[in-house]
Amino acid sequence: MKRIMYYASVALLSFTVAACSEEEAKDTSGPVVTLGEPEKGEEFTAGSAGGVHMEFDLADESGIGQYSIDIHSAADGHSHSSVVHTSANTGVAWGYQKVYDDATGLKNHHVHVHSDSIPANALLGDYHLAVRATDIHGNETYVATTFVLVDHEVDDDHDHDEDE
Amino acid sequence: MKTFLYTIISILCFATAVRAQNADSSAINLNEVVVSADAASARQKLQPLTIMATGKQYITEHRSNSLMTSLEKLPGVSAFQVGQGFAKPVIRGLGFNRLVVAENGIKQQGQQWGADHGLEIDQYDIDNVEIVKGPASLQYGSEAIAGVVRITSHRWRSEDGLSGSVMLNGGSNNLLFGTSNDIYYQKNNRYFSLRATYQNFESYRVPAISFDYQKYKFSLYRGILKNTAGREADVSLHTGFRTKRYEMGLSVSNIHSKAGFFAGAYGLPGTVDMSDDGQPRAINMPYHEVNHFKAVVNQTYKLNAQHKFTADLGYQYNLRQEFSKPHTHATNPNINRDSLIATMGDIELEMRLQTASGNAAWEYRAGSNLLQAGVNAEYQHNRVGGYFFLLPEFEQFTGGVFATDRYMISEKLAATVGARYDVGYTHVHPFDGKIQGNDPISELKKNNGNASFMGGVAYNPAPEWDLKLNAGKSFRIPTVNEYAIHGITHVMFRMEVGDSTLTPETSYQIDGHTAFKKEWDDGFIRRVSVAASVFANYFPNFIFLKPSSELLESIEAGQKYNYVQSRVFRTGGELEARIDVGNHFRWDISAEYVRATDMDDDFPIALTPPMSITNEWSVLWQKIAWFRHNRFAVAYRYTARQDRVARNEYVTPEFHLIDLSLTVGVPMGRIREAQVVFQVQNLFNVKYYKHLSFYRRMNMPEIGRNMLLSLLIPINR
Repeated sequence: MKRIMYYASVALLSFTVAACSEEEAKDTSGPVVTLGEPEKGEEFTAGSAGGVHMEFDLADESGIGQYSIDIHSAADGHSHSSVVHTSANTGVAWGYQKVYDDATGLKNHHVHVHSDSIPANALLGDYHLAVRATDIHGNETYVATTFVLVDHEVDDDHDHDEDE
Repeated sequence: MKTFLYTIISILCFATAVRAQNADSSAINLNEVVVSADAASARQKLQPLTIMATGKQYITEHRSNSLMTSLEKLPGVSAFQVGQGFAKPVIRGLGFNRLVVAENGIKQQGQQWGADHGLEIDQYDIDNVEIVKGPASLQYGSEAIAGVVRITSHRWRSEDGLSGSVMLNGGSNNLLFGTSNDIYYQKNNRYFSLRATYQNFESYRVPAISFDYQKYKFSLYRGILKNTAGREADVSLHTGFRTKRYEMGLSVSNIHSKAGFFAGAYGLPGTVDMSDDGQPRAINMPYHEVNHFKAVVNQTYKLNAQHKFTADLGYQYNLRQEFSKPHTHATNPNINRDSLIATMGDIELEMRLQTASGNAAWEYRAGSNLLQAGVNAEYQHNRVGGYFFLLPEFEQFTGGVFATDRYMISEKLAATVGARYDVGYTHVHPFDGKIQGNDPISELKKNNGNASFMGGVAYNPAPEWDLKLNAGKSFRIPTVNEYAIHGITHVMFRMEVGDSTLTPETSYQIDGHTAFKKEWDDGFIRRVSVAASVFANYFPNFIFLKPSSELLESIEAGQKYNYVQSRVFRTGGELEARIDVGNHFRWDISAEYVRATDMDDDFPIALTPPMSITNEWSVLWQKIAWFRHNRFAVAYRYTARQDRVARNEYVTPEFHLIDLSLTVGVPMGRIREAQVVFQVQNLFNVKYYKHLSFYRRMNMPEIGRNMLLSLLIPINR
């Protein structure tokens, strides 16, 4: 019986020892992305030549790798936690995707960019804006927000009506 | 820390139980249902490698939606799961290209390609499964670094005659229904058997109403993962004959499966992809369809008591197609979708892999030596299609020669040594990159060669004890996807890029195994068996995917991951115990732990299974009224939190799962009995995540409560 317990304990001890883990202090997080512009739910006008104005800050202790911007229509109804205000209309799907590497190696970076101009006939409604950033190790962060694309003609008509 | 608490509690309970045995009560023999570790013991004796064997009965009692999930409770075995119905085997945290699944001696090919492929084997057409833990490279070639899942699907019966069986089963969660029926005829040293299996299931349900997709939240209508329905239709035929010295078996099988992919796994889902369409059994795009045809001939010739020759020949054709509408892949302005649709239709990916394999071995018994020597050869031929690109076309030849000798030093002690040399030739076809605006892949021709060694001792100091120690070096030729993959993998949201300069992966491993088994004719404790294994494993150049800082201009592509090589150290162990208390109670414990570290970066390796302990308490009755061989079991599985994760991999929280299983035998005639198995898996409908799951990346919980009923009716004259 003693021997049984001995063998069993040896086997189990090695098992337990193998299971113990030391603590690690490593950079396991991607860059911190602080979105400034656009604000959630901000409205942009279709046909705007300046596109979507975006400002955000990137910070990473090890150094920023690359960052990318992705804008796509959310009019098919997929949503994140915010309220969905999808409008049914028949515009042209518009989007903007670009990878930037102008911050590579920097610890802090303020980004101020504009998307391409928004076509006048762009699909209206909710748009998703996603910013993805990596650090030099490949740790990744993903931040998203929503803005709304409104029809420029609606405003024009409205103004016009008031003028008359 | 909590992890250790559970470990220690289990161990303490176990120790108490061992000590609790005393010497009274009457002696009635337990009519054993052969399960798990026991079947292997005869074979295990004086073998240096740890082999776990399970039979049909174990699979029946633990049946889940796929073969590997049915075997998942075995210590050291995990399943990499793709929704329901598809799972890949993982042994001690290594899977995919680092282990071999061999059915009737032939290496199964086609399941290694990507994470989203299952194992194309009919789980009802299995007689016996053995799991070899540790490097079995000597017999199975360079891929068997982690071990082998050895499946036997046909066997001679003890009596001649015509027999058959009808099996019906159903599952509540995904309204699965299935049937598997076979007929078997044996006479004059010939046999013939035919089996047909069909299974059909709806989309499955999870205990959640929403999930996250890359920071976006989607709701799930009544917890249904829309478009995860599937079906499978398999046919297999086995025939064989034998003479005094010669034995031949032929197996031909065709496995066909079709299953939808949850829309979130592909591109950005719209709400229409989540909402109920009133057709839960429909398989819509995106879906995949796989057909695996296999023909195997096994031959054995026993010249005399000393010499035995075996030869296996196999041919396999794995046709895999993934269908989806080209527009589901959001936004690459370089793609002319209309022309794609015109030329390719809806086939996104197509892989046509043909494999021809052959093994020949010679076994020679001379005095205290058991000498084995043999050759293996395999030729693979892959062609691709579809409008997307993942893997190039290629041809690959691998071959090896090996020799092992087991020398019985005494009745109780045996030593085994062996060596093997492998060669490999890989020819990857160039790809011009035109489909996705990819970088072109240039033609690649690789010659590899490397040697493997092993040495081990097995020592049985007393009949109750079985001790093993073995050490070895094995290696693995990089696979074509490691050399040359170039594409977006769904769900992982990443671009995977191969590296043509990879060198063959080498592994040094040491394994120790201690097993104890004792039976008592009387007493409170009737039988105790305990087995513990530990291993340590060093790879100077482990191949794995590592994230880079490079991003891609597509929401579903995201980040670029490159195949790299690094020094990796892995260690872990398993514990397995069974205690029979009195005539009616049985306690099974199984625990496993693996730890894997990238030493160059001092980081854990991705997809390492978390520590897990399963306790199963069964009550066994030989006879209750008419019913025979009855068993009721409660299994409690605790899986620890996995926080040793690679970069960008999610930490997976711990979970507790309770499963119930009831088996009842209904006598039919003199010998035969029908068997009814009722199981409740995930009794409390716990919302949990599995670290090794295809949908983990989407924060998608695993399947909710599932009740399974199966009925097996034997038929014979």
